[in-house]
Amino acid sequence: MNKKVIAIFIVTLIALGVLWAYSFGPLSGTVAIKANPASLQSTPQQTVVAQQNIAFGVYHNKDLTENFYTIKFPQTWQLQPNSPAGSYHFASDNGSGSAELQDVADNTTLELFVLSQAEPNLKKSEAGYQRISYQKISVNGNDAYQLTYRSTTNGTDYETIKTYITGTDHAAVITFTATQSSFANLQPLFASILTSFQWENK
Amino acid sequence: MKQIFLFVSLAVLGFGLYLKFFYDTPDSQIQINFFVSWFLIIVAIASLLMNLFWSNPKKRKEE
Repeated sequence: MNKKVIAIFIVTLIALGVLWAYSFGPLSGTVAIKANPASLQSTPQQTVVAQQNIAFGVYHNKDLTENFYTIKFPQTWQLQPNSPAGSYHFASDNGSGSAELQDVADNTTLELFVLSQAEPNLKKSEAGYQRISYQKISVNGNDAYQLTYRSTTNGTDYETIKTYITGTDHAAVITFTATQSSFANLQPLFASILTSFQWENK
Repeated sequence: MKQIFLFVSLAVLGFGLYLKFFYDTPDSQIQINFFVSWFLIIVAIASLLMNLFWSNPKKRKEE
């Protein structure tokens, strides 16, 4: 047999072995999308919300090339460590807030995704899920679908407002959760955070 | 026969490149897409090279 062909065969086998190691073997961690450290840096900004001067941190997320975005969260909220690439999870005394990127397949629309996949998943995962409202809104010129629902955790009633914002490749999902008693008071703050959301590469 | 082999190799290479650069991969399948696309590209390039270097037995006799 031709020596060159044997050499090509051996090199191919080695390349496939390395590929397996990168995909499923000991080097597999390198394939996953990693968060950009710059995304976790925030710049301070003062904003008046419901006649109160609140200090916000403005975050520029640069984790997924087609989905750079800007959002601000109150500086008093604690950023949870080890959030997946493209997302922020915050906790506060009365509730929590998060911004995430959601992959939506090309063969569906965001609205169809919300109604046929996201909401049924919430019904399964959230105890006592009860939809309060569903509406189409606009967030800085982007079509968005807002789902408000009630759920129960450890005997406490929570209210959650989840907004799915259309984007180039991924959609953004902004979620705010608060105890039912404090939800109304926090709504202006939630609205202020939501309207601060902007796609950067649009 | 050689032409068929060449055509199949090019088709496999094209499909591998499509999966790598144009297919909208769901987040949950990035790893499997990485493996399958590179597998097809490597195998297609290897088969193209083998096709190129495989000496014809008739030619060898002539030499």
